[in-house]
Amino acid sequence: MELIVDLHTHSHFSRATSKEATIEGLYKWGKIKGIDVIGTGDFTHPGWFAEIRDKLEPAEPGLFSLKAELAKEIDTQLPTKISSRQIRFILTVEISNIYSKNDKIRKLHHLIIAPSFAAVSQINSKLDRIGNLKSDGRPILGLDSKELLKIVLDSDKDNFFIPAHIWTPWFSLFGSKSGFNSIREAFEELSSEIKAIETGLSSDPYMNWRVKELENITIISNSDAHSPQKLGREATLLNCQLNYLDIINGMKTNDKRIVGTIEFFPQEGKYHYDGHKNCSVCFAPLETKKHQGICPVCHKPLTIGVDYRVDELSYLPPGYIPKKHKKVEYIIPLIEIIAEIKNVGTSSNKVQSVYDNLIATFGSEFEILRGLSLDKLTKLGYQDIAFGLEKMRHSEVLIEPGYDGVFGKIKIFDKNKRQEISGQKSLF
Amino acid sequence: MIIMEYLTALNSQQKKIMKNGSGVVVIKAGPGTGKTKTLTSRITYLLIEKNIQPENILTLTFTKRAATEMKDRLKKILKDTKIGLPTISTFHSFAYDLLQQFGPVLKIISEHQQKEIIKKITGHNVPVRKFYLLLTQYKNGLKTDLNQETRGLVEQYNLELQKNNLVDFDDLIVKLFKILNDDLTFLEQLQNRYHYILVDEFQDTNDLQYQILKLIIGNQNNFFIIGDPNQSIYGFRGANPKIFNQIKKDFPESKEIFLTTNYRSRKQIVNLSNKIFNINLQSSLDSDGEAKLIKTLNEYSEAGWINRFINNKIGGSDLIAANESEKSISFSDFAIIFRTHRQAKYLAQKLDESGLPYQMVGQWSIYQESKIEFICLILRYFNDSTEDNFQEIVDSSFIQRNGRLMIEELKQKIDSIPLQPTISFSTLVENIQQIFFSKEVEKDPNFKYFKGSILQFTKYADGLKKFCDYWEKLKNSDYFDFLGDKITLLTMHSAKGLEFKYVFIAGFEEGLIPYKNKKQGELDEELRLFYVALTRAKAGLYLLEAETRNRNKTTPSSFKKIILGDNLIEEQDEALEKILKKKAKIKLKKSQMSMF
Repeated sequence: MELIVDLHTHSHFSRATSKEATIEGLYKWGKIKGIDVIGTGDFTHPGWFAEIRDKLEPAEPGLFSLKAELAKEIDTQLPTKISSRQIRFILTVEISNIYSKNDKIRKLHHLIIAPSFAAVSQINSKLDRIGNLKSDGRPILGLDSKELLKIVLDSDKDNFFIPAHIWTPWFSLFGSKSGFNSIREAFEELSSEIKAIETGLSSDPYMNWRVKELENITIISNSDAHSPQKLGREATLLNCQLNYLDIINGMKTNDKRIVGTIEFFPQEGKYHYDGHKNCSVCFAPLETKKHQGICPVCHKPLTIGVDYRVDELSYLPPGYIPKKHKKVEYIIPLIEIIAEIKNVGTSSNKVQSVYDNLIATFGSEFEILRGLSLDKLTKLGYQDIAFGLEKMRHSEVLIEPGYDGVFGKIKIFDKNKRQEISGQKSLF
Repeated sequence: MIIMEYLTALNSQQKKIMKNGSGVVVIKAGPGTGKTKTLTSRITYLLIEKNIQPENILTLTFTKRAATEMKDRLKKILKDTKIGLPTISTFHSFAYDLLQQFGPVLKIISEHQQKEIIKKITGHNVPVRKFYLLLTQYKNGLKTDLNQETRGLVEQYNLELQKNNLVDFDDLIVKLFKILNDDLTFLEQLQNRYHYILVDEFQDTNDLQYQILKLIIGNQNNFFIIGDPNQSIYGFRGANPKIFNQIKKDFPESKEIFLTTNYRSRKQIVNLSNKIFNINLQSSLDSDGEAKLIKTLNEYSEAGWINRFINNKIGGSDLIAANESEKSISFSDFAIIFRTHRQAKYLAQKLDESGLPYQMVGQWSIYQESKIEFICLILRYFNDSTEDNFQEIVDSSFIQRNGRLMIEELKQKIDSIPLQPTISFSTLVENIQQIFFSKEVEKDPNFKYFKGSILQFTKYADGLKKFCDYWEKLKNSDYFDFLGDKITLLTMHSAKGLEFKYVFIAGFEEGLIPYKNKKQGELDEELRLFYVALTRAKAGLYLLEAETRNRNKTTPSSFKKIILGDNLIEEQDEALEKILKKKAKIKLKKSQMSMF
């Protein structure tokens, strides 16, 4: 069966997260978004781990479901189109490793996935002596990534370890600020245990394909959601059985079980291009090179973005596409499409009510974004949404790349062409 | 060859000492001047160049940590030779070894046993620590004016020890002193054996120990003393920096040599700490480093400042704070030093809030938990199956508490633990666990923590040895985990002998530094304690002075005037303005509310 999987999330026990990031919140929004398997996140946090154990029960091997009485309560509040969807949880956590190696400070984030509460307990008791697990759902450890990998592998053979959002400058495996230049440099003799990487919001498979070292490595995508509304910003598509091992083994082998990924336009990420937020300088890699990496305003080194960094580490030209590759689907969150049409913010009531109506009428957000027939939409008076989806599905969008912490902008409507659309009669 | 490298990698002062260390030589060595190195090269020189037999050399230290470190260094140096190690031991274990030759086998009371006995005889009326201090001061001749009641308690305590054939650490020294005075043949034997006596950390010697040293030296006069009078901080145990003057009187021919190059700290820090005792150490390092006095609001903002500083140095631990970091830095590069443990609360709380990993030194450690200690003792017995090590298992608080197992039974149980060399170290621990404990122990958080912490010792064969070394080191250093990459929180007393890239001294205010109600003599010791704290810093030193603490207005430290000047940058906590604004706002709101 086709599964949409989002492994990387956070609970309310992580810093800078929404209060709604509860198990129930993840469950509810999983249904609205149309995700089949959701990572619990934060399993090293004693409070969250207790909550997980309290509210979840084992379902298929290695997967968990929300206890029936809790599920029922939420289901009754949801539109019938989505209320009967099946949600499964999988045990995950993100760890922040901060340490020095080869005379440089390293800050890497990693995603760990475990098959059982017992495996989680094992990992937790080992990490407890190294760091401070109780104060952040995404704990900071003064531990070499390789040592963390070792602990994960030693704790249970079915545990899985994935370097997270590998291109963000400050906190990742290949990050320009405090990452490494290769998997080998970071993991040495254990490099072969790195079988998958996470693209993060600021990279897509096209960018990753250019790097030789990633040739045989599975590319996966997750939302890294800090609030449940952000679930499924990115996700991985699988065609496999609904159980832990089939999902994980798919990711370990990159075989046909992996269908592909659902992606953010990477330009929307906060670190796509190079630049300085405070100086309003945003450069494409070529311009950065022209300026020798120095900001023309403050004369300090620019924050190098992902695009530049990919170029630095890759041996294949931009735009390279391997002969055999997995599917890549770009999406724009539905709420943003509506907001753009309405020309108001995403949190406005107008936008919210259209969103709710769409979900109630057509089903989950992924169903709408990915598969819904545009005719159907147009027939029910949503021709501007249909127009937007068509543009999105064909990647015919206007792009303003993000840089130095500033989100990029992806627009469907050209200002000049806007008239053309809004001139048409709209029913909503 | 290692030896030659070792002997040549010395500065001119150190070289001079190495070669001209005969006679009575007193080396005053400031912090970071390479004390252990100088001492080790002197021993190497005696062994290699002077062909002195190892058995003619006696080296005494004050901590097990120092003795172990020196042995390790010498082992490495002498690796390719056939020369054995000379006697290197702590004062107490030296005394213990000598006393073994007289009468019944002595058993040293464990910390746990001592506590139990003190509790028993004082009926919980006196704090254990207080009584212990009194006891040791009395035994070392520091306190003579005990009232009748206390004297009675001390006698009871001694009787209790005698009954169980036990001695405490102070008894070892007292007994040795007595024997050396009474048994002249024995004394002569010692005098004839040890031609060279070297003493490390001489400032920690108390009078009784010094008398013993003088007796053993006799007329030999090869007495090599190294230490720093300015770092004498164990007055409560009878150590006194005046001992350096005493030796001048007792040995008028003695030479005094200074080690003045500090290899640890950068210029500003060395220059600043020089002011404390008006001395003139020089930093060997090129860079300036920095020493700052930060004025802040209270204990919370103090913790906040330290927290921000660390976050800045590591370049932020989350995206909100991400910035350029220093090139190579780890959590273990930071230490927060305070005068009393009570100050630790807010400092730790703040680190908890930001999720940074830290360890508190000198606090209770899981390794002191009776079950865990028991496992460690068995592991050590496997590593080194001596009778002594077995005896310690028998004496352990776990066995004592849980109804005495018959020794035979205990031995049988230990023998039944599977020990194939192919099993992993953690399996070995599990095997021990299965034989002695119920399954319930798995749920104990301390036990879980312990099992997590031993994972670093994977392979059975060298894992066991490595673990035993690690455990030994932990025990000898107040359970400071040198393998953990964490921020260290510790008191000034436990900071001695350690060094960190960045040091924060919290609570630089009168009443804490110096500690309240100290008399003149004690005040001198407070100053030395302060000096020890300052000189732990390698690159950055930050003194924090709060306006209020525990809601009370503070007075600046009386030590402040000593260090003010060019080497100390005074700064306001940059967050102060913000905090004050916020406070004013809240106050305004409150007053507005009360108008209605």
